[in-house]
Amino acid sequence: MATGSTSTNISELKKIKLTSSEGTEFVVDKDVGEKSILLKNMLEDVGENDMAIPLPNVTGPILTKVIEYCTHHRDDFFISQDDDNKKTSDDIDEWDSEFCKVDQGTLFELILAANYLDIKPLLDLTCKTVANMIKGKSPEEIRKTFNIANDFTPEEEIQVKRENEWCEER
Amino acid sequence: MGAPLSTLNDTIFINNTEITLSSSSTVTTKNSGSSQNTNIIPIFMSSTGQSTQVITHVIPPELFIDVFKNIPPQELFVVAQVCRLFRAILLSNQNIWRTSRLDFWPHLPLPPPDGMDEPAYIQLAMLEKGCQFCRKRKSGLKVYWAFQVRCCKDCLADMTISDFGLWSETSKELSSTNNDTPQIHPNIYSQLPYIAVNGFYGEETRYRTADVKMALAKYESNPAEYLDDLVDVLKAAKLQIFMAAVELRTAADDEARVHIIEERKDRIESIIEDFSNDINEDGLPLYEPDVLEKCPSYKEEISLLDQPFTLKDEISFRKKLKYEHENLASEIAIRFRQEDILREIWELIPSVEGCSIDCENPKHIEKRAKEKAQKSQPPSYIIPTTDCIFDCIDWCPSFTNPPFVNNDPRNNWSKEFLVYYLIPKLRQEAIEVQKNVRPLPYWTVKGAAEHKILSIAKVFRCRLCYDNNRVFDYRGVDAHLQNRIHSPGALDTMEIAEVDVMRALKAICKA
Repeated sequence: MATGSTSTNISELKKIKLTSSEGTEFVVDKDVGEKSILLKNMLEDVGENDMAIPLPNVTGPILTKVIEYCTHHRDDFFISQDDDNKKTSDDIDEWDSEFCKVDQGTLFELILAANYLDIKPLLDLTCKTVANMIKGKSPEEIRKTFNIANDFTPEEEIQVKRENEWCEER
Repeated sequence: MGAPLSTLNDTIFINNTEITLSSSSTVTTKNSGSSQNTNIIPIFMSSTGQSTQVITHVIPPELFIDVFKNIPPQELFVVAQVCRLFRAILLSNQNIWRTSRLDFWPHLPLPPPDGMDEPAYIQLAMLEKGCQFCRKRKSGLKVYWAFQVRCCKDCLADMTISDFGLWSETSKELSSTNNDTPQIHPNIYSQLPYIAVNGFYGEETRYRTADVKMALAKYESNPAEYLDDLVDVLKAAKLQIFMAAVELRTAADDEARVHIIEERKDRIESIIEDFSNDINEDGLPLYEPDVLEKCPSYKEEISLLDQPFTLKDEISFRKKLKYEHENLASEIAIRFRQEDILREIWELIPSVEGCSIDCENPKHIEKRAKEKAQKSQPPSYIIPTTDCIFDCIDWCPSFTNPPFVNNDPRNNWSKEFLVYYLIPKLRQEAIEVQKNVRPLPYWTVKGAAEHKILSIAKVFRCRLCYDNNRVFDYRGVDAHLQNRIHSPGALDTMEIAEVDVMRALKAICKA
């Protein structure tokens, strides 16, 4: 536990307990946990409680990553994305891009966790990262990158190609 | 034991270990005795099991929407070629395309035109520089909204057929049945989209050949049904386009529309302001804002505010405005001077008493007398109401292009100049004109009916009516007399109607 520093105010010192899918218990500061809208709403509904909140959809390693993200951004005022018009995928900051340097499986699970826990900035970040992996690639390269099977029938493929001829000739 | 978080990125303590992330960004573990090393496992292996996963199996489709919104519009066409799922998501989701367009293409904030979806709109915008069909970049490229294409004149001619062509030999070739004399109903093509272009025979309507073929085939299979359906089809198609447009339109679109209109308005206003601040060496403004606002290109620009792809470049807009202002300004200046002349002529017309022709309305006499009494100076001379100046003034050269005092445009007209020089000159000219042109006197019904101004002015009366104050325009008096109010048969308008001379003069002099 953190030593009772005089500079931190009382509410920051409040802790909440979370349980990952494997049953591992995590203790996080309340303000960190409340970056998740799901947890925030839950805590408001339940009130002061010492019970651990079970998160059956999130594994321990992913929860650790999520907590790491929320801790880093604990002091950020998360502006809602709707107000933020400039949303190009190049504006990911250095820490965030380092944070996303993980294997694909983890990245996908982070997307799912961010969606489940309702952490909009993290969802945006991970979606942007996936988008960046798609950008600038041909359809075949995209399939390879994400291990996607080409499920078009030959006839469909010809049709799809023809529809997009204008695209390639640009 | 504590360690900075960053060093723990790759490992995690699980099972019997409690992990605490404290406010000081350190992780504290409380271990209940067991060996730590055995509990350390690499973080990114356990959760997924295998390193490569099929993204489409893991991520639910709705989350792909969030992913795709971060991809530029032009690349969304590539993504749609990857697999069926991606294709389905993209094709069923206008929102992805819109968000992407708004984020990545700030130059295209306007929503697509009614009846066009986002992908088609984006495609059209991407082909901005070439013809959609031959891909050549040449002059004469145009967007034809009715067909939702951008193409050159040659390709347009290839894919369309003119309304002249429809009824000629060509339509027989298009017909599937080789009927020598196809009985084609005139309304058969009325529901097709069309454009009006300047063709070989002047203005012509062009239809898409493919549309024509389809309509023709439908018609030939069952003419009666086709024509019956036509009205319904027409209504349904319009409704469909309308509903689709309503569905596609969102608050964001409307906002974008309002925003872009404001922006373009501001732009035009600032140009107009620039113009009005322009002064010549005498310190007088070169341009009149009122005149600028009457220029065709200004009006056009205002009418096009919410149309995509219609932003004109500023330099040519300014040039056009300048040119049009020059023409318009002189036109307006002439109009002002003509009004001066007419006003002065009006002053010189005698009161009704001196009028040589019948005009015995007591109200008029009274009013006119009052008006005269108010004048401080009596007129220096009078122009009789029968003067041919009232018939011929529009043809007089000194009226169509009024001269200046000493031929200098900066000199203002004086009353003397008008009364003693210009108006006598105009009367002289009018006599000449009457000799050559010979318009009928304005006070005759026929003359007034043929007069440019009087034919549409309320200056005609019916001689048979008791209420002699009632005035008509020519069509009105004609209709009045043809309506058999006064007699069982229609009456000759030329004989029975009369012209109210004072009203006629008032109309001619615009008083």
